[in-house]
Amino acid sequence: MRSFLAQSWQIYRKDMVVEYRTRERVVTMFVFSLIVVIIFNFAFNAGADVIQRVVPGMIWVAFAFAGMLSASRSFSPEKDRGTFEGLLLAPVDRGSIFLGKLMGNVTLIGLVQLAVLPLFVLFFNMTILPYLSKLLVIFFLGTVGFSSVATLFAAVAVNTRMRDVMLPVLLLPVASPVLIALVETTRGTLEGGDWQDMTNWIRLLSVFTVVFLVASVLLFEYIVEE
Amino acid sequence: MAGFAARLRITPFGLICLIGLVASLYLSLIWAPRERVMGDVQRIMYFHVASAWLAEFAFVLVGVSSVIYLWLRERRWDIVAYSAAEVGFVFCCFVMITGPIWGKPVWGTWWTWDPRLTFSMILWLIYVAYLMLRVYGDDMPQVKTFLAVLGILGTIDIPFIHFATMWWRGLHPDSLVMTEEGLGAGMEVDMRIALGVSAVVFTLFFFYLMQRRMALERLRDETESLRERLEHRHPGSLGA
Repeated sequence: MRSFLAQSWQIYRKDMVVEYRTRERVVTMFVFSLIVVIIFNFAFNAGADVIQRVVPGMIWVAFAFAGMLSASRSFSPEKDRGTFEGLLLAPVDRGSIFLGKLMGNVTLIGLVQLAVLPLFVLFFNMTILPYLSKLLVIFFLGTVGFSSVATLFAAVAVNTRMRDVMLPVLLLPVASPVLIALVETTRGTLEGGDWQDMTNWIRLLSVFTVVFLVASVLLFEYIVEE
Repeated sequence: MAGFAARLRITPFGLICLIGLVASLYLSLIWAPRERVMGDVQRIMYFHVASAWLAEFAFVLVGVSSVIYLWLRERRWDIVAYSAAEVGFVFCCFVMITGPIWGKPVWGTWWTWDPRLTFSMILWLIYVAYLMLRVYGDDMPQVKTFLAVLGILGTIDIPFIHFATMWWRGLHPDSLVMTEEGLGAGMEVDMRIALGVSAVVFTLFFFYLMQRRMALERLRDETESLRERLEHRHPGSLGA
């Protein structure tokens, strides 16, 4: 178990070093989320009261797409450069490759969330400071759950002819329960709700995250075998 | 009768399905009493509910055969999963078509984001994803594994979608008026019989279609291997 985590950590570190040197993914994800926010603003062209109701949805549409970008880019350059074969030849458990990639995706989405949330506050005059600790728990759970499925399906999609189209088609229907739960808990929190009001959703988020994390680690092995 | 059936290439099982479907049509459309409030349009429910059950059952079948496929790696389990997905998709489409036809006169709207409608919509999209992956990935050797993975994840997802769509609407009581369809416990005995017969007949029909679809897939495999053997023995004889 310890070596499994140590191997995942090495994969994670490798990806983060690559990302630190190029900063490709974080920058594109950030700009992409920013554009989504601005386009949504045009799309709704709404007053403050309506904005308060749609902001949780906007937040998660932006982050879901940023998450897909991150997941997809965690495999496609490796595939194109042929380094993925090298990774598979490394004497590590296949599950640890998945876990390393997943941790990378969660880290990058987390960074983008940290950068974009203040912009939501700025543009839409939201109050988030009193709810920060609750939001942190919700965002972490949801991002891990969403990214597990996203990372797994990105590994599938990268092998198909229509890789850029296939990822959303495969991922979004399966991830829809977690997206619904995220929007509902985010809305509940921003409206000043307690944990008690959201027990069902938090339970759904946690169970989804655990179940799909375990399932993805187990199934990844089948996906990458030649 | 037997000669007629043989000429149309209907198996005895197919004949049973055909008779059952006719009987079920009679029971649902003529024999069952007319619903007092909704009128004749309510009769679509007998087919709608029966297909909805099969749309969900078929995906569980996809999931179970996908697990067996990953375990045993036998092509026949992949065939079961694929056929279940295709036939299940047809039933799911039927649910999506009959729902609005019933909804428009009864609810006054073609579509509403009621939990069950939302659930069917997401299930339908998962079917679409499965079939798209099959079509766009057919040139890859690992596509069967990918499909099995999607089948398993989709099946695990079904309870989550159920709860998510239920609670999602539960938080908006203003739309709850529309979820009470007046079908459940208040149903007359005759209606329940008609629905029961319809569910049984549709299930038989589902397995009949599965059987035909699986036979077709096996024929394809056979054609493919014959083609390869011919190509091996007389290179170039089949053109490109």
